[in-house]
Amino acid sequence: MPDSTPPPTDRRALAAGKARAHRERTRRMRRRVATGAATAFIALFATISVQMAAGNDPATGTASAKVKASAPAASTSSSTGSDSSSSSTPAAVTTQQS
Amino acid sequence: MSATALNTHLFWITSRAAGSLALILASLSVGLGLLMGGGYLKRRTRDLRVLHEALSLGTIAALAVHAGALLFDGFVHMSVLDVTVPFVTSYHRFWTSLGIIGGWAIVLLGLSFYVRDRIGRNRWKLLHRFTALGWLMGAGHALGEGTDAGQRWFLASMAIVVLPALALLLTRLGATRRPPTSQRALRPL
Repeated sequence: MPDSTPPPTDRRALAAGKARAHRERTRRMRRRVATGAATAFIALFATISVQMAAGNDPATGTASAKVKASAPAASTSSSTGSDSSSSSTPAAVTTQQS
Repeated sequence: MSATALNTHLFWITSRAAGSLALILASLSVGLGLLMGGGYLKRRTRDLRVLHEALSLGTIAALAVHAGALLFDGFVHMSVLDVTVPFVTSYHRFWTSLGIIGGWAIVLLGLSFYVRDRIGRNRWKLLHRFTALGWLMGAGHALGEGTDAGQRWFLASMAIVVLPALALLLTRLGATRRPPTSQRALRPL
């Protein structure tokens, strides 16, 4: 029966080859994770930017929030603004007073 | 959006995107770690460990960008102490501090992998389990304070990555608490 165990030099070469293959796989995997993370970051950045551009950003406020923010000033200056419908026309209130 | 608006909010958007990315990567890393630790993935563990490590390093990098970008943001005006030391900032003090503690836990416990021989393998394994706690703190920080927490896209993406990892963690905790069948059999009635 022939001996199936490879000689020491072959074994060493085999181990070195395996280690090289593992290093290569490791490098490839790290590169893939880095690429995926960079892509995800760009996608998230773009989503938030588009959200901001559309005026629906929770940080900078929505268009309706801006109207709401200007409403108390209008009702205070008119001192009769109990009606919520007047909040949508703050400019008209100012014009009446002036 | 105009170029001026993008320039004005550049660091703010960067911080938000990096924070979301950190949570996604951390969830994937914790999920993968739990799958390996729980014995669900028995093949190619060497490669999976490399993937786990790469995801963890990605998380740490994203956390650094998340905190670092805030230093340059012109709206929240955060200092180095505000973003690194818990309970210093007045901006959403509790949730920010929770994020800082969780972030430090992820960074320190993650990097402890490289000194595990000095710490002692068993001690390191025990410490490594607390990374999940840091991840939970990060998730709490994102949901409690995150600007995008109410956004559908954010909640959907978080649900996809956070919930499976959370389910795995709960399964693991349940399995740890339950004594093995052999011990239960020996217990007197």
